[in-house]
Amino acid sequence: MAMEKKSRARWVLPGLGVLLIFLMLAAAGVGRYMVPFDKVVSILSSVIFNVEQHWTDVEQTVVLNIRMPRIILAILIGAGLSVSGVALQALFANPLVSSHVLGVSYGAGFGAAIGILLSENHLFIQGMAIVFGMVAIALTYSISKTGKGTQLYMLVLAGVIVGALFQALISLIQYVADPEEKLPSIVYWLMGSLGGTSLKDLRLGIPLIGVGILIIFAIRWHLNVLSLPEEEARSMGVNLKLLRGLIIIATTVITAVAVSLSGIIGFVGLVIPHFARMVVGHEHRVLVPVTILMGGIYLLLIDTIARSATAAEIPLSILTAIVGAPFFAVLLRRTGGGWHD
Amino acid sequence: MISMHHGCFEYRQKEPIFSDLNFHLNKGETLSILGPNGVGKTTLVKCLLGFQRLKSGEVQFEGQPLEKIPLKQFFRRVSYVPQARNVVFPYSVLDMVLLGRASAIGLNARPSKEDMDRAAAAVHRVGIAPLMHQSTRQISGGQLQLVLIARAIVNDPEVMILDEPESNLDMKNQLIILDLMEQLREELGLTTIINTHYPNHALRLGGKALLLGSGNRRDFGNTTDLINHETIRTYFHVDSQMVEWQDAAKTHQRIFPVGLAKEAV
Repeated sequence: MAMEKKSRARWVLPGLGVLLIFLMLAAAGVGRYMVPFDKVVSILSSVIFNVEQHWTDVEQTVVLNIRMPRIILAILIGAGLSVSGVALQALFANPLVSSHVLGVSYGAGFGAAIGILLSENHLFIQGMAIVFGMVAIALTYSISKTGKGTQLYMLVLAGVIVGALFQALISLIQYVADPEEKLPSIVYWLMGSLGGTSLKDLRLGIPLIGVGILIIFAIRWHLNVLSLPEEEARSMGVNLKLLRGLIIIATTVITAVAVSLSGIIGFVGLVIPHFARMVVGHEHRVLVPVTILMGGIYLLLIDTIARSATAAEIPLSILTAIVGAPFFAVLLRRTGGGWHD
Repeated sequence: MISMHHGCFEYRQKEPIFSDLNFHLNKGETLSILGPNGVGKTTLVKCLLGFQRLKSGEVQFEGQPLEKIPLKQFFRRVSYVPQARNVVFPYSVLDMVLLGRASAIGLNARPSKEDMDRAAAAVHRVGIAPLMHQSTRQISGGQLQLVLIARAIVNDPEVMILDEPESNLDMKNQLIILDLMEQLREELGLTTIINTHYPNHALRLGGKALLLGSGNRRDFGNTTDLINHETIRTYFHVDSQMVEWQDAAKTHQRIFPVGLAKEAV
């Protein structure tokens, strides 16, 4: 069984890579303003190569300046949230945790809500989200710290406490916010959307989320060690503190930045890792890259539907679950949870 | 090789699990730690491995205090075999054994060909080569215990510390574990420390024994001197009967529980 899954990884990985590239090209053409596939390819290759222009300037702007940033960001956020889920599942040796577990997303959501309350500046709102994401993890960490160091179960409990606190604070802000103007924008913002993504957002998203993903990717084999019971992991002679620290930092940055760019998106961080586990097994050297690609593909698909299915944008957090839930429910029934072998 | 000097440990103030505990183990020797449930056998093993810190006294490895030895070096020479439990993420047998090489693999590196070869050799050595690519969730408890032993020998350690490796296993699997321990002891010159519930396993493995009892009672010495119906009654509150037989090589002893001890000890 394990062997089958591992050898399956040999074609899963390149297959997913090709699929992702194809979907990127397709998504760049799809929308209220349709651009044919061949033109998308030429427009994109004209960035690097010298291609004679056989498309309109409007098409070029739509593909390059409006859709591509959004596509790239959707992939990064999907990949980042999913791989954070995998890393945290290994860290806590528990397949049921996701990027919400440390309270970071709700902290970041609270920061964004305050930002919206105080200002209309997009950058300010994003900055507040990131800052409060960090505040949340700092709170979680300091609550969980005891004389003997940090115990993992303490970290989970502290994360739940901090998450609950910030969820309540978000409600409080919504309660006091001006119901005509501020309240709707807070609610819409938290529901999540990549609409209005610009090149500026990429400057924030690519380096921060990218670095987070790269850190987890780099230490992926050691996630296997980390997922052992604490003392067994220690007896493997690895620096547990460093490994845990790296994962907490990477997942915090990814989650906070993702929330700052697209609101609180649930579901992805829990379900995509499990879907990947079902396909290639649990060995993290294979699981991590597959999860990254699957997460990217999933959120790209969802975001493309979100912006093109109806005249108005459908919020991401709604669509991730509405599209994802039936799909994964069927999958779960079909396999009978068979990925745990 | 490994020794404890005036070791004292307590979870709660003034309620010592053990205190002023001393023993010394030479290279290649075997130590069986025996005692009733809850007396602190596992705690003692955790102290030997540095998972728990002694309240006072010290553990020494080749004359050096445990705290002074870098983690990486220590665990390359001293390996730990926990009791086989359910695995959270079912890696394949080979992948699981490969984890034993973690201290030799850089943080952002992956296992080399040499690491893979060593892991495969360890799997062969414990006799489960056909299971190499099986999931660790689809093998039996006894086989999983062998996997954990394979993981513990993958770095050619000098000391192996086992925490009740045979407790949950049936007779045959218990014997497989004991045979393997003897085989490894011989082939690799391993110094072995085992926590066990079975005096007979200590008798079979020979070497030294450490008896732990309530009220900070303890005895340390040669297994054959230490285990008899009197000590079994004192430590386990059980009446027992010793059986002896001889074969060409040596005299064997086993002890069997007969009933609960009548008089309070």
